[in-house]
Amino acid sequence: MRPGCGFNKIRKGCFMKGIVFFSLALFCIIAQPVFADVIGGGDEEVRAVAEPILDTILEGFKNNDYVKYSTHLDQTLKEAVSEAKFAQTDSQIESSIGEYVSREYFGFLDQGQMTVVLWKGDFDNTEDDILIKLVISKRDGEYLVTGLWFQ
Amino acid sequence: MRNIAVFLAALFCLIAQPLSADVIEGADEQVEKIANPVLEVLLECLEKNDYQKYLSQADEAHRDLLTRDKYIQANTQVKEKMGKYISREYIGFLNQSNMTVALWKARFTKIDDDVLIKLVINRKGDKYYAAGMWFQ
Repeated sequence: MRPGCGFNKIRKGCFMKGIVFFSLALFCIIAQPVFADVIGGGDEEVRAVAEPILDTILEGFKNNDYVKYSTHLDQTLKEAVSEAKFAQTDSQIESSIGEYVSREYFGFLDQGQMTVVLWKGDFDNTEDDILIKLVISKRDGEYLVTGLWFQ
Repeated sequence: MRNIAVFLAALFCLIAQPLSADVIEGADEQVEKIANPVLEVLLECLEKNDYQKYLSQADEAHRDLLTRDKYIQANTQVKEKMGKYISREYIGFLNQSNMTVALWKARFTKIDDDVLIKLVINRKGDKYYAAGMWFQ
């Protein structure tokens, strides 16, 4: 048992420190595109699209760069996550799980007309593994992010 | 995504907070070998609405939280929304707060979408128990 995590604290939610569900709520906005498609049929195809997009997002977080972070977001998500909200979330993520260190690709699921891509992430302020979920769809030849989770 | 699973997850998402717990030691092969049989029983219980058998796989705190009525209600909703379980593919695992979270991509009869199954397992001595399960 982790030091300091007595029964009551555990009951109140030491589990995952409660970090990510809170942070997530700000980014967990699933746009429901009318004309959209999944991004690929197999791991190689999906990774070819998703890995660079996630890199851009994580770089945006690292440098507190909203423009970079929002490069691939669809319009609905961009409107939902203002620069101020982004900065606030960035700060909260950093203070709870820390800076991104590395990741390991898990796989993907097709849900609706979107692809949900999964990774195991490592951050420097927590011993826990973090599940990264990135929701991407293909619209008019463009790959757009409609949701992002750190769980 | 039909938003089924987030809703359903809320019904199954009773995360017990064990006072003492531990992760499943080892890599994917080891985790899959341990987690698969636990999930197999839980899915069987879902199919047969077998509350007693489900409890046999759950850890103490989880058992205390999930009453028979809640279990039946959740089961009914899963079946109504997603249908019957068909198959799954193991994806991997995470270690979070002294527990192991195992992941699968699954198929059910009533929806075209892939469903993410997350099973939280904790180890007590040489036994493994479910501390929570999600369908997303």
